[in-house]
Amino acid sequence: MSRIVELNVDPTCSGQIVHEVARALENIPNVASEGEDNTIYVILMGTQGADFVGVGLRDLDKVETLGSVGAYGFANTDNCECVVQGNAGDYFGHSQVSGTLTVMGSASHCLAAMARGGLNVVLGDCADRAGVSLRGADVLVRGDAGAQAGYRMQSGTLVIGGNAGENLGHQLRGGSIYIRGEAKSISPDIEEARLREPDRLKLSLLLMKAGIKASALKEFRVYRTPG
Amino acid sequence: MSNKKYKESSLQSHRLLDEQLGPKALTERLELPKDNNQDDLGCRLKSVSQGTKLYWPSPVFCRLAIDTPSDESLCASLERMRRSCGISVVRPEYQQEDESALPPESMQQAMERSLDDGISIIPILVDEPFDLKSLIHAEQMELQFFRSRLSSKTLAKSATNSDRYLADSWIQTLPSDLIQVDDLAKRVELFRSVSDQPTVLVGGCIAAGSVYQDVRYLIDSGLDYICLLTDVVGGLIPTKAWRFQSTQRVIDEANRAIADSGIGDFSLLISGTFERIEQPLEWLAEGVRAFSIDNYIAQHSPIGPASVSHGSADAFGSFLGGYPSTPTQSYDWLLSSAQQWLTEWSSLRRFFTCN
Repeated sequence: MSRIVELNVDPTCSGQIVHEVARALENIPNVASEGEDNTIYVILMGTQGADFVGVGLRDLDKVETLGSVGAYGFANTDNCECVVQGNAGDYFGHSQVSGTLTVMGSASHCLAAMARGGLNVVLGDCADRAGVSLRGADVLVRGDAGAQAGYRMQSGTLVIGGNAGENLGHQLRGGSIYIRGEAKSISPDIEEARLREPDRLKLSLLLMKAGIKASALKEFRVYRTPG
Repeated sequence: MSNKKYKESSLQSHRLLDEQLGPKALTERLELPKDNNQDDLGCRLKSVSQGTKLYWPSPVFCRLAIDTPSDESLCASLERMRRSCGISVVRPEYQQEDESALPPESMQQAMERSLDDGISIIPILVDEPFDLKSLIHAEQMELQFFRSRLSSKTLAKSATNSDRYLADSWIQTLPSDLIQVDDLAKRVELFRSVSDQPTVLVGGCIAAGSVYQDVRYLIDSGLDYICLLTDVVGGLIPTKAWRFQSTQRVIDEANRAIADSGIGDFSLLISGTFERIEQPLEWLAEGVRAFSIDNYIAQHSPIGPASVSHGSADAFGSFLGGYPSTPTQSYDWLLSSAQQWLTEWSSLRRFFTCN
């Protein structure tokens, strides 16, 4: 039997949601026997663009916000599947460890900054510096990305389904950037590489995980550090 | 600041010091003398945002754990020192995968901290992914504006201990993902919001560089205290000690910055070298809340084979034909050295009164 937690978010102390969820789960005993459905759903209501919503959440099957989130939404989450039914503010998914984060709308600056693992999906556009200082996570933006996408990226994957702004891949040190559209300018720190079969496999897997039809894989180009 | 101007301000500060620090007059000693053990020799650091104060049993802290991240036995000795001497300790930087190095997580353990225990300060490397799990019960956390030693490829490749510690390890670093420098305030707010403790302090630690500008910036970023490093010592290696600036000059500059910021009661911590045992008393009289004894401990580090204890397996290593075990450092001297110094210093502190 699945457990459902519904929380009204207080914007003044939204950083404490991790404690509130833990307390709520203590009050809902786990009565599922072995083999039965034991999923945990958390619904966060009234987020209204509050900062720090869902930071530090761990080991939850599904978390959903009914509204937009502000800065540092779902930062440092681990093993959670989170969906934002709205837009996300700056530093969404910062330092993410694992799991999947999905923004149904658009995201602001520094999407998935320093994220170490997991998948971060934005179905709309994102502002500047998407995937800044990325440390191993996969980031997928269905629409356009702003300037300096992949800035100081160390490892991981950044997929841009639309166009990118100026200076794509500035100071990139590792990882790959896949782009389907055009970039206003490309940093000399990266160069285009041939899209090989492993790249196509990786792209189709990421698109499938994000629930996006992988019909135009050949239109993508891949950029990496020279050599 | 010119040398002449600096000398003048130094003289002024010493005049001020004479007024602030001195033995009590006989006429002020009419009240019954307290038992020495009942004297409150601790200090309180104020949370700027909450207005509450966090009590430290002793105005002394130690940063050695963060300077020697791989040495578990040193960390264990420092933990004993924190509990038995009441000296606050900055915890080691840990690998993200190494959960065993995390601070105790359960609330029960957090509440078990006695008032006589020093504070366990959680470090946050500013240019690394943060781990909020380690902060959820933290009373005090400290942003380290340096490069991470664990993630630095050049340092990780270094074979010898002394190669790990170069002066450039303490070059000030900002988070690489900040768009504007003002964004740091929001991140500080995030760290503070995560902990469930009634009083949460978020501080910042930087090497003394442009002290005035740095202190003004960190105050504007919403930090509760600032720790300035004037002298550092890498991994208890006496040859790996550097002086960045004169401690007295740094204290003066920081006090000027605090006064100009108009914040009022703001905590300043100093990590520097002192030649005389009464020198930290002068620092306290000048507004410093706490100071580190890292340099003192490093100077008293016994060098030579006496400090290295080999495991019993070494005795049989030759005929068993096994691999020689790695020698483990013994840090028992550290605890006794710190204890002895603290006893002497506390007795001196009781003699003087900080007004």
